[in-house]
Amino acid sequence: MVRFKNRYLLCELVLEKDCLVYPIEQKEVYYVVRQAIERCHGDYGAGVTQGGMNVKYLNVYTKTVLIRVRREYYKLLWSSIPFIKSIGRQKLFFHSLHIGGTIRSCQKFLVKYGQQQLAVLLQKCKTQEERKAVQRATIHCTWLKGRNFENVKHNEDDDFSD
Amino acid sequence: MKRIVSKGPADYFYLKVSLEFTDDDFEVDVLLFKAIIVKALLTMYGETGTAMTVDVLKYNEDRKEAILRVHHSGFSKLWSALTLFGYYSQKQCAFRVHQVSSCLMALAFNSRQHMVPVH
Repeated sequence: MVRFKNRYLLCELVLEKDCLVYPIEQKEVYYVVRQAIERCHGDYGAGVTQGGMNVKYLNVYTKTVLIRVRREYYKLLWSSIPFIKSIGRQKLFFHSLHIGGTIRSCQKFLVKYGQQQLAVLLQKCKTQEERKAVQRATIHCTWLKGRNFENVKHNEDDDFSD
Repeated sequence: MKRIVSKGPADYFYLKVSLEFTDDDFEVDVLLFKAIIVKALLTMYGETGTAMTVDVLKYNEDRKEAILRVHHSGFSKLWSALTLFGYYSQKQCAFRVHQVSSCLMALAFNSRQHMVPVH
């Protein structure tokens, strides 16, 4: 069967000065990635990835980027990503998280990664309100795993802290 | 039952190339020659292209001819980069690849360029 097979690279943007929202467009990410591939892999890399490359998803709040590339040339993209140092005037770097064959597999990874990050955040919490907010978010996403959460009574006394 | 043993690809490939400019007055010394080869790899294959080691074993400045050595993994990249290199500092140029071999001894003689004295 003849069809184009792709690889989806899931990255996280780590900004120098971390702010809640940094307005970046998909176009800008695409151009910056193209420039990086052209620098690292030359005309050959730029030409070969140009056909199938696309920034499929960009979330400026969670700073998640999903880039699609043809399966045969995903290593060219993957190796050029660490050389990106800024977009426009904002200094940042791409933290590559996962390479998947489909968008769905990347979404599944993102859910698991988010849960792991919540556990990390819980340890970094400084105030009691922050702890409660993170705990509530953790319970919410574990309950969402196929359970019927209308029957769950949300109890303010449920405290998992020591 | 036959058993086939393969020695794998050769370690190095040797190329006999010459650099031709449209005006023959332009002098190229061996360092500039190496820099032009690196520039060809840079435009074609980027920074990863320049990472491959290309050695200039012999250089003839009058004819701008050289014997290059390259690892087998970078061989096709080098040859394609040299083929598609057209301009150096606003001058048109071309790399002519005369001979290619995996053993250096084969470059000692070229039946195409050999001149037989006619009496």
